[in-house]
This record gives sequence, C-alpha cells and structure tokens, in this order.
Amino acid sequence: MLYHSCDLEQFDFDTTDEVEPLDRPLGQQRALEAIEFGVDIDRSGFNLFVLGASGLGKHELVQQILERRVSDEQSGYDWCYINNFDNPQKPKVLQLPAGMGRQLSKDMESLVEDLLMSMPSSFQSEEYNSLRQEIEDDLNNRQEQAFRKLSKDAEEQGIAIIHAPRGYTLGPMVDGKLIDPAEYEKLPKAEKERIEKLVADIQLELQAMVRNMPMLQREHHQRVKALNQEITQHTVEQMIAWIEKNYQSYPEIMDYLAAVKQNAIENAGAFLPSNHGPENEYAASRVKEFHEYSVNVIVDNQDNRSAAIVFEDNPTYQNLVGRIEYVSQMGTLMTDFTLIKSGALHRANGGYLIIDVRKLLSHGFAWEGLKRVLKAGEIKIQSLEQVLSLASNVSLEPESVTFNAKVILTGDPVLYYLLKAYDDEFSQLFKVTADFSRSTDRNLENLQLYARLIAAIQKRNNARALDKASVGRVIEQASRDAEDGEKLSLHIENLRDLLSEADYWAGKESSHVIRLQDIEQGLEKRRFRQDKYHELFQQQIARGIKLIDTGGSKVAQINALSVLQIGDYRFGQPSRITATARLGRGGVIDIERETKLGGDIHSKGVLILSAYLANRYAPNRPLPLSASLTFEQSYGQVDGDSATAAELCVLLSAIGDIPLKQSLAVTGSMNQLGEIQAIGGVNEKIEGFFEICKHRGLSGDQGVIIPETNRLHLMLNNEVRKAVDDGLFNIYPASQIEDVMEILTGLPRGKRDASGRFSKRSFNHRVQERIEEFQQIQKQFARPDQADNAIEGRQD
Amino acid sequence: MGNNHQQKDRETVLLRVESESVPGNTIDLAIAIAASVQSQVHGLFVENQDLLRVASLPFTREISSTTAREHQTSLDQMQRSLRAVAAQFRKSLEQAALASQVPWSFDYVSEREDEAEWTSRHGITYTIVGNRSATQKRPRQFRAVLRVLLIENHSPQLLHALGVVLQWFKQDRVEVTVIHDQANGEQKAKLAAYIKGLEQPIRLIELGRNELVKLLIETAASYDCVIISKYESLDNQLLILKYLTCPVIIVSR
Repeated sequence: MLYHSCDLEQFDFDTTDEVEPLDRPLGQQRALEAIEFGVDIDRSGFNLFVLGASGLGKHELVQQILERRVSDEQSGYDWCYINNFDNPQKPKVLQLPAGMGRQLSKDMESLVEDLLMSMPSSFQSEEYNSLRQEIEDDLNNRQEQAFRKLSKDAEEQGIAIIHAPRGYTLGPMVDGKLIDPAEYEKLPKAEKERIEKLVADIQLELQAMVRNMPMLQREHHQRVKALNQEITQHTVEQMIAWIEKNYQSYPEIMDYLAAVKQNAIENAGAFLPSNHGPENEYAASRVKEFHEYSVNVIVDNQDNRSAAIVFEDNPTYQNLVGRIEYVSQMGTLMTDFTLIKSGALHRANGGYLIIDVRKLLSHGFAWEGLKRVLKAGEIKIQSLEQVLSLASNVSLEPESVTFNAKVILTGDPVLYYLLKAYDDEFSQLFKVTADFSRSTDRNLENLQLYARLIAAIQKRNNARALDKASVGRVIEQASRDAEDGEKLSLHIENLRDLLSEADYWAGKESSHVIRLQDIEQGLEKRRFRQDKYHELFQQQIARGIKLIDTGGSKVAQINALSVLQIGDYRFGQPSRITATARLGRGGVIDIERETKLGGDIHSKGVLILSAYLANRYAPNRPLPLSASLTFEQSYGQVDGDSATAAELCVLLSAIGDIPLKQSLAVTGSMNQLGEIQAIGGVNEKIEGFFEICKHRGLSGDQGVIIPETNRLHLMLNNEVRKAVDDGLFNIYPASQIEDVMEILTGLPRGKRDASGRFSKRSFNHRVQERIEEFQQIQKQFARPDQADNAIEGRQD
Repeated sequence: MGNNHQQKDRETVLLRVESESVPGNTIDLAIAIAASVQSQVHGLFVENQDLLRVASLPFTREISSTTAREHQTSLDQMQRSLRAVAAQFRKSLEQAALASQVPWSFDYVSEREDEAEWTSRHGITYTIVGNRSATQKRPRQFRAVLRVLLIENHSPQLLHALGVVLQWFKQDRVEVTVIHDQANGEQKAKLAAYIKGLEQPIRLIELGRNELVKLLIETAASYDCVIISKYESLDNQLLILKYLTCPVIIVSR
C-alpha cells in the first residue's frame, strides 16, 4: 500500500459545523495525567517539566487544565511592602487577603490627608493657643519677675540695673538718681569700696539670673514639647482609630498602624504647613510627600476571582524575582520601599507560573534565581550585583515573601535531558515530567476524535467549516506528517496553519466551506513557498551538473537517496555512490570518513557492511582487497545509515564487476546479517527520485527499492501513486540485501553448496570468484612466510 | 545723623528709642500709623545719659544678657555701642519705610533736652515707644485675643490709633479695656459708636481711672498695645511705661 487513505464513510457529517468540537487533548494521555498529577500534588519539589517538540500544543493543554482547575481555587493573597520605621533599609512585607492591599493603601492615603488637615487645625485651635500662650506668658513672667525682684533689691541697696546695648550694667544711685562720675570721685575711699563691692555682689546675682535663663528656656521648651506631643497624640489617635477598626482581625496591620502612630507623633511638625493656605486645598496635594506612610502593593489580586496563572514570556532574573528601582535626586541614586517591584514569582504566588525553559536558560542567572526561590520557599529581592557580591553599596533588604506556587517549565526534550544529566538540583525541584507524544495511533476511535479536533481548531480560529473530503485529506496529511500510515501527527500548530491556509484559499474562491481542493491548494502553495532550494537541486540534476543516471546499467555506481531539511521543508535527493575494489589489505575505506565529512552513524554503517562482506565471502581467510566508497559530488556532511544497503550493493558491484540498474534508487539501513532495516523520510526519498525520472520521462522500469519495514510509512503523493498504478514507476520493498541485489542486477542470489561455493550465474558467485582471484594474486606477492597470513581489512 | 525726606510741615509719627534695639513689629506699627494719617515716620534715638554716666565709672562692667559674661566698658565704648544700635535702628526703619512708601527721617540726640527741643519743632501726632522688657519678649502668636488698653481722652486721634492697631494686628477676637471718666456718658456713647462702626466684634471693658493702678499691677503683661494721651498725668504715664512692656502709642492731641 502506497498510501493510507481515509475512509470517508466512517464520518456521519457533511461539514465540521455538525461536529462537536473536541474539548480535551487527543493522544496525550500520558502527558495529561502527568500534568493533572503535577498540579494537584501539594508537595515541595513536585514542579512540572512539560517536554515535547514545539507545536504539539503543550502550552494550550497546560493552560486548559489550569483554567479548569483555578475556577475552583481561591485567588491568591495580596502582597504589600510597608516602611520599617525602625530600620527603613529593611522594608517589611504584609500578606493580605485579595483586595485588602489596595484598600489599605487607600486608607493610608486618606489617613495622611486627614492628618494634614487635622494637625494644623489642632495646633490652631483655641485650646492649644490658650495653653501655649500660658506657657509663653509663664516664661515671660518668670523672667520678668526675676529681673524685677533683682532690680528692686538692687534699688533698695542703692544700685540701679540699666539696659545696655549688649545686656545690662549697674550703677550706684544717690537720692534715687544715678551718681555722676565727678561726684563719685569725691566719695571717700571706704564708700567707694563699699559701692564697688555692692556692685560686684549684685553683678554676681545678675549673672546668676542670666545664666539661669537657659534653664527657664529649656523648661519652657520641654513644656511646649509635652503640650505638642499631647495634642499630636490625641489627633493622631483619633485619626487612626477609624482605620484600626477595619483591621482589628489582622495583627500585622495593627502592629504596622501602631508604628505609624508612633512615627506620626514624633514627626508631627511635618504635617504642619509651611505656607498658610486652605488646608483642604493643600492637603491632597501634599499626600505624596509622605510616602513613608504609603503601602506598596506589589501584588494586587482584587480583580482576580481565582488563583493566578502567570506566563512569563521574558524570564530574566529581575522579571522573575522582582527588582528594586532607583530614582535620581540631586545627582544621587535614591530608593525606598515604594520602589520595590514585583516579579513573575510574586504574581504567581498561590497559583501557577509557566516558563519556557529555553528562554529561561538563555538569560544569565535566571535559572539559578528560580532554583534559589524554589529551594528556599521564599522570594528574596536582590539585585544581581548583590547576589554576585559585586556591589557593596547600601541598598534595601526587603523582607522575603513566602513562596507557594507551582512552577511549570515547558521545553523540548533535549533541554530536559541535559538538565537531568548535568544539574542535580533540577531533579529535586522538578519531579514531575509530562512527556508529549508526537503522534498517536490511527485507529477508528482516534479518527473520529481527530475529526472533532479539526472542528475544535476550525471554530477556535473562526475558519470556515470543512467538508467531509477535506477532513479526510487533513487526516491523511496528519499521517504523512507522522511519516507513518498507521499514525496521526499530533502537531497542533501544523494542523492549525493548514486550516488557516485552506480557509484563505476557500475564501479566495468565495466558498462557504473548506473543500478538498482548498486543502490541496494550501499544501501545494506552502510547498511552493518553501521549495526554492529543492528546485535548484533538481535543476542541477536536470541540467547534468550533478550527475545522476536514471537508465541503463553501470558497474560500481548506484543511486542512493537522502533527505535534506531546509527550514521546515524536507525533500528527497538522489546521490551517486561509487565504489572501487582492488587487491589489497586495506579493507573498505570510507572516503567521507577519511575527509571528515562522514558522521559517526555513517561510519558505523560502513563498518557493518565491511563485516558483512568479510563474513559472507571470506569467513575463513583474510579478505584480500582494498575498497573505497564515496558519495560523488557531495561536499557537505554525510551522516545516517540509510545508504548502507546501497553502499554494500555498489561495493559488491565493484568487486564482482556486476552492472547495477541505474533506473533504480536504493534506500535502507542494513545490519551485519544483511537484513534491511527501516529508514526515515521514505516518502520524500521516493518522491525526490520520481521527480528526476519524471523530468527525463518515465520509462516504466524506474523505481525505488525501500526496506520492507517502511511499507507502513508510505504516504506517497498522488502523482507517484498514479505512476505506480499506471506501471510507469515501481516501488520494491526488500527485507534482505540479496533481495536488493537481485532487483538491481537482475541476477539470482544463488545457493551455497556444501563446499561453500555459490551457484554459477549468481551475483554471489561472481563476487566470490573475484575475491578468490584476489586471494590467488595476493599469494604471488606475499613472502613465503606471509603467504597464508592476511591482515584483516583495516577498520577505522 | 542724616535725615531723609524731612518735611517740616508734614505731620510726624515719632518712633522713640533709647538704648535697646527695637523689635521689627514696633517699627511696622509706627509705619502703619504714619500711613494711615498720611504723615511721615521719624525715628528718634535718644542717647541714654544714665548709661553713659555709669559707663564713665571705673568699675563699670557690661553683663551680656545671653552669656552672662562681663565685659569691661568705658564711655567711648558705650557710645560706640549706642551708635551701633542706633545705626541698626535707622537701617530697619529705612527698609520698612521704603517698602511701605512712607516718608521717613531719623535723628540721634544726646540729651533729653535736645529731644524736647526737637519735638517742639516738629508736629508730632503720635509717639510710639517700643518694647521695654528687661528680658527677650516671647512671641504673642498664640494669643487668641488681642488686648488693647485705651486711656480715653476723647480725642479722635486716640480712636484713630485704636482703629489702626486693630487693623494692623488682624486678630479675630479683640478685647479693649478703656479707662475713662465714668461720669461722661456722652463720651462713652461716642466710644461705643466708634467701636461699633469698626465692624469687628470687640469686647469692651470699661473701668474708672481709680482702677488703673491695680490693673497695671495685676495684668500688665497681658496687654498687646496701650494707647494713651500725651496729656495723661505724668504719674500715670510713668506707671504705664514702668509696668507695661508692650508698645505704647502716645497721642499728642
């Protein structure tokens, strides 16, 4: 069977509009169960890695499962950073019910506005002014009284205290008037001494009084401070009381409000206006100055009714863990708790975080940062400079946030297995693997489900409905994409793209539904868009630049087949392999390997055929030949073992001088026993050779020899199938290398008799004969002591 | 001392200062009164002769009112200090007058006799005597009530001064204590009408002259301004200047 058609009779609809869309994944039972288990289990370390090739719908499935799940889960907490009044460098964190963060933030803004309005009023109230004036008057009176008393006492002793520019001076009086200097000079000495002593004594008292003034000032200041504190405390307590009433069940908030209260009392002056103006006008505009009382809500779940599902598309270290921002003020970088920003881990806290692992690993330290959070169970916001100890400047050290969320990494298998092999922590932190399949069985049940899948994608993409024939064609294409007629590809993205393109072409022809020809058009146009290099290669062959024969027979030359992939497009290409064989001891030389153009798998194939050759034709003696194999006009890397069968056939042709049909191409791997093994890209290979033959004119004897085990992979295009049906092209499945040689040579394989000799006129006989010839010739060249020794063919 | 804008025929508001510095609000009050009667303001610094006399004595010291340190002094030094205070006073007066566009002048006189001679040559409408507190006066900003003491002589200039004071202090609550002859009912009515005409709620306390002394002894510190007539008895004037430390406005008519 060259093509596994889809039987349309099994479908009981005309278009997919009648089909119930598939609401669950197809063919991903293993992955589905793993994801459901992974998101459900509530244990540390049971995060998920969802692995599979791109386009299999990993993200969609994960999203679907999570969305179904979170509808039953409560939304996460609000997370807020608040000022730590005791140590502003270490902001504190609050974990609050969803929505409370925003409310607390608003309440604090209102509190500041209230304080800005009420504090000035309190300090302008009659009560305060009266009490304050009492204190002022008291100081004035005490100072005044002290001076008056001293003045009076001094006067009674005949000394006047007079105001001077810098303070005071004392002068003696006579009859109530200050003495004249001339009169003073006339006084007796004793009287002068008495006056001077009296002046000195009173001066001492005056000085003591002046020195005591600062103590009175201090006392005054203390009284004013106490009064201010009392007024402030009363005002602040009243203003905060209404907020406290709302949060009494939350001890952390109550502690915070207590700290706010204390701080506001200590800094009451900040709430007083520098310029007098209507309080209600300036209060609102000044609220922003008091950011130490604000609440930085870094995660606000007020509008979320369920647990968060966060997909971080750019998983840098900072985008995951959060960051501390800085502002430039007067040439210096400043920061505080209001500039702390959340990361994806914060937003996903209590819910789910999905990250593409390739993007995660491509950002420096992001992977390490994520692991640190998962291991510690908390998010500590630090800059990379701090983490790496590159910075020693003072910065914030915000309190850590408890982390409890499920992390889901998605990526291709290569990355998964690399992490598994080289990162011990990975296995500890991501214990659940959801492995997506590339294909599923093409059975009756899955065909129905696939039709529903098509309907689901069609409706989700607002595409036209597909008629039955186009559904069948899409299914067949899915088998082609799976490279297996008994499988269906699960590459959802390819399917979605095909439907989109077909819908476009249907629209171009004003069709209401997507028809078979629209699918074909879509496929053909896509192929054409990507086909440039394929066309160039074909032209090279058609123009004889690259030498490929498609007729006649040649010795030591064969058409092999390979698949080239450029971007998303794969195509088959014939290649000419040639062989030489001569007397020698070098064994089979793989020229590709010798020139370092051959990969390891290709080299393995050559070693296998070498072993087969020796075992088949010289089991009891050394193989007396040196042979070489090469891919002609091939200047790039050659790998894979799908050309092993062709290489052995051309080698046998070279040894036995047996012509091989050039109208045929061969593809197939081979084991040491000569069994032909399956290869990949069988459809592309056949179609690639077919195109060359078609271009030159199909003769009817052209064809491709493929492994028998590849028959179920055949999903050949219509053109090839028609040519085969018309007898213009042939497909030959083979299970043994001798089957291949029979087809290529037209000679029978023959039977080995008791002496080990193959039947005459068989290709085996010719090979055997030639080897025996080499052995005879070799004996002529060998030294007598080496006549029966032969070195086994050199193996690299 | 230099005089500026001296206009002999213009009415003058005299701001009189002796040895102490003048608070800025007293200068502003004097300027406000001058502006209200479209007169000039004249600053007069009178050299305190008692101070100079004492400074001449050999043992005299000056005690700093802030540090209590004693400084030796002499007549020359004291004169220099007084001139420095006067210069500062002149400068403050100049700045305030120019800002209010009120003509101003300044004089420094050494003797009270010079002062008497000076005042007799000029038409003085109002004399303002500044703060005479022995100690640095605390601000009155917390006083809810402006308290004015008015010793009534029934002159329109007295009432005018009251109006300027009320306007200048800009206080919502005002209490005016009036000392006048109880028997003169017409004058009382005139005062009451004037106060009503000010369109400001004023609490009026009316006392007789015999209550003045007791008032001064008991409540002098609570007044913000005093307005008296030049023709008030000398004893009362001296009592007022002795007990009251707030600005005193002496009306010359």
